[in-house]
Amino acid sequence: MTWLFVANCVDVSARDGPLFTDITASAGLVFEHDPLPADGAFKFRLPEIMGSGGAFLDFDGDGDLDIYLVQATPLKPNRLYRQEEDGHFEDVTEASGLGDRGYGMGVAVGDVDNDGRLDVYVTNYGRDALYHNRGGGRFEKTEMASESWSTSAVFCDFDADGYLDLYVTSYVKYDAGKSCFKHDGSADFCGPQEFPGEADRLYRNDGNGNFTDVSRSSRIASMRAPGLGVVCLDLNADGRLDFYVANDGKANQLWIQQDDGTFVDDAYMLGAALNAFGKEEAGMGIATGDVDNDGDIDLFLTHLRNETNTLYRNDGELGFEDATHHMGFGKTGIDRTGFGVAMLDFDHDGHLDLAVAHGRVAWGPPLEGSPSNPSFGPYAEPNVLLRNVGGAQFERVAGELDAAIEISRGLVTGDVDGDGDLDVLVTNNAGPARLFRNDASKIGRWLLVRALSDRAERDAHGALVTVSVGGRLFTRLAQPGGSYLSSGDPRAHFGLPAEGVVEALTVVWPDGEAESFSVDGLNRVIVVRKGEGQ
Amino acid sequence: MTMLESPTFMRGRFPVPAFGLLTAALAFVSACGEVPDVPEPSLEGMEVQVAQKIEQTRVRVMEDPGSAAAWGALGFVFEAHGLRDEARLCYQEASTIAPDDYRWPYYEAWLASDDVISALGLASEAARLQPRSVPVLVRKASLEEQLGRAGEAKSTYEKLLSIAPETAIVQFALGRLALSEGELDDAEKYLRRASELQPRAGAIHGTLTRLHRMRGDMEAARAAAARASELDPDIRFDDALRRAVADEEVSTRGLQTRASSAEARGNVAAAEALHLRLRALHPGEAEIHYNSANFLVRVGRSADAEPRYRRVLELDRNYSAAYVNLGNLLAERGELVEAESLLRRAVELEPEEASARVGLSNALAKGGVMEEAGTLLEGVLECDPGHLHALLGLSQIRAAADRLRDANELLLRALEEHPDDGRAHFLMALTSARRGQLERAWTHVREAERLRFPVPEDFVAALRESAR
Repeated sequence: MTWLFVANCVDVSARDGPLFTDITASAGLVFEHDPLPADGAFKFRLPEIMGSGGAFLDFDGDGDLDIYLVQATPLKPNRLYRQEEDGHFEDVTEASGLGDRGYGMGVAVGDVDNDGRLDVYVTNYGRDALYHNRGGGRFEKTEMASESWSTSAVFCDFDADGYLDLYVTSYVKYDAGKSCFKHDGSADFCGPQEFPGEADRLYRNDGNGNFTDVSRSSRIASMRAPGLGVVCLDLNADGRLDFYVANDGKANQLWIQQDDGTFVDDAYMLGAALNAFGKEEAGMGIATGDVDNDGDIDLFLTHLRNETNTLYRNDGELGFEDATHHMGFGKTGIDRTGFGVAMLDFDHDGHLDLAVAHGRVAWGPPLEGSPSNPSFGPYAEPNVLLRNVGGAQFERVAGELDAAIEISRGLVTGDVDGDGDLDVLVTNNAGPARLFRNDASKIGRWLLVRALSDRAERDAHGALVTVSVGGRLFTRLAQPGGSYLSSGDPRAHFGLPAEGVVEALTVVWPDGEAESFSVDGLNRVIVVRKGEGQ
Repeated sequence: MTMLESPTFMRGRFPVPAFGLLTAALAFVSACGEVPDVPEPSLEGMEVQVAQKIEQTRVRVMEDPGSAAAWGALGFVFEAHGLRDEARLCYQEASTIAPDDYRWPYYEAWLASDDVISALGLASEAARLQPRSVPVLVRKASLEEQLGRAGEAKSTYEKLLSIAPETAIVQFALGRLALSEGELDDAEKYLRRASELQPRAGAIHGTLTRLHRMRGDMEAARAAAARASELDPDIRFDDALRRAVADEEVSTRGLQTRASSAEARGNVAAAEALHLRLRALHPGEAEIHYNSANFLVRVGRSADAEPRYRRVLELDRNYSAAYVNLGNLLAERGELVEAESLLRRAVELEPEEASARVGLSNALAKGGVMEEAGTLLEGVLECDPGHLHALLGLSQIRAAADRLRDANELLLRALEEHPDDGRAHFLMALTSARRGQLERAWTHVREAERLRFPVPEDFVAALRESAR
């Protein structure tokens, strides 16, 4: 016996109407990102255009997703919003102690001390902070030593000792005294190529609440590159967790874990360093998922305008192949700059679609409908939703996600209203955070799988869940990390065929062990725990 | 961490309203006939020389509105300075006036990036008008690939192959397409040829990695991957049509880019002229002088570089990279006292910067101060265990102290991290020879020579002598 409880069985019969609805205001989510530093002046300093992330997290363990939003300006704190029973969000920042006042970049979420409560790691331009969840809605801050410019971060138990470790990407050694200019000689933001890249950091969780910096001994620090996005999963199916890092304008890194716990960058070896044309691209965010339903996890990276967003299809033993153009991404526009990104099956047709946050980093003529703010308006672009048509092609679909033209950065998904589909949270640079409810008509059924560690009531980040329905296999990843500067719902979400019984549910746990579980039905949330399957 | 203030340096900006002289010129044109609708972007905030260039080129169009060349030239100037919409209108006008000139749809195709299908239509029109233009066909094929039309792309690349068989980018593309079709023999043939044409293009080795994986030859795959990761990925393709646009850019950023491109093409005179122009535009900006000095070092004119570095340090007493480069330059010339002083200042300014510590170590070692030189490099390796110059420098210090086993270990580490470094192979040959391992020394001499490291002839002769 296997699934432990059932929650929120919801009728998802087909409905007409918009695919997504912006419920930011009605949900009471009031947050305006301010990228200007303490002097309040707009001076084309690079951090001012990089944006900040956000997270879906159930910090109070009440079963619904709350929201954490990172603020840039040190004049205002990051914000924590607790979801109330009626779906409204209450700002509980002051009481929680989560109001970090660093120049905020990103957030990672995980239970680092196996106490069943979600802890929060905040990356900053400046010192990062780890917030231990002490229960009762209170967090306790530990400041990290490193002062390098941290961007995305992800928790996973890479050494399989039962405790979540932490990977933090570092961007560049920024010099605010450096001025940059656009083609006509007027001022603009510098690109990362103007500064030396930084080495990323890997922290091993010692199990006693402390983290040890193992960046050097693990060899992660042996390379310096402008890292922006990171995911943690077993990318070569050897039973050990690896890291894939999107670098901005440099070859990406695929850190394959070795027997001795060190890492070797095999991005070139496995075909995920450069695109098909042999170009280094401006890697920003990363989405992971099985877009072709062949049982392994593919990688989708967002990039700069005039580059494509790139799909590295996982070909198993052959490594990765850039399948961007085979899958239709060449048509879906290369005229936008992508950042946050997520794979989600928004219409439950069994195929993973894509939501991409856009926003320029270099000046361009303001688009119609962009904010009137003269400093930031020229950087705004619409987001995009791409439908996966049969696992072979992607096409743009109109929807509320692209209605507002803003400088979008973070983008994560989660079932925020408990109706079994994935909703979307978008953070904007110099703009409001937006919450979009998924109202799309559904083609099939759904399943949400929470995969728990055997050691504690803790999500097993990096678990690979496969469901077999009517002879078809659907594989999804349980991992909150990824995208850009953000953290999403840790559960594996499935859109599944409308017909057919569930034949099996298998989980490949982060340490490589596999178990099978039985499932009594669909349209429900189930929890599976390591060691309780077959 | 705090954000530093932006520098006080400001580029000369175009004033608003526009120059009186140009206004008068426009009024003259206006009085003489109908003024066509020439795009008139706001010049506010642009560098003065950019605004002037735009206005001058606009006037030429207004003086001769029936000239496709004048419209095209204005399109170049607009595009070079980021005014893409305005440039597109100019190319369209040029195309209307001269519908048989393939260049205008070609240029417009580059600006239609928001609509790849339209871009391909334009590139196809350019190819119809000029079926043997290599840049046009490369662009067309690339757009076909982007749209997932692999068959059409392959056909266009094959046509290119018959026109310009020695073009690495074409061989690479055909290899890439064959690989994705699983045609491994064809893929290998094209990729090998591409690699012969441009052996230092990392992208080709990256794709060869996949080919070897598909053949199951993991050893070859790993070697190709290592090679790819050591090299700049780019495959050079000199598109003279695109260069005509780039050559119109006169902003500071544009002049810098043009100088780099000219240098990369081996046109040192053009690069130097652009550096001179930059220094004339910004006589008080340290970075401009620093870039000039580095250029002079790269083209082997260290003596000319020295005063430029000194000028940098007059303008900015805290420019640590200039201290490092000038210090290294003087150390190379044997002026060790000043070199040491400059490099110590660099280390003081940026204690974590490896290049300053490696430079200082080198100067100290040349002066015989081996202990401190070694300590500095040990510090660098503590932070970055694979730092090539630190590994090589420390190996030499160890070898000088007859600690050949230690030197050997450091060189092994260096070669593990940087297998394609000729200097590392040469030093390994030297150390091996001193340890009496002559066969091993020969192996590394051959590797160093393969990697085009200039192995001293007297060393080779001595090695040969020892072998007898």
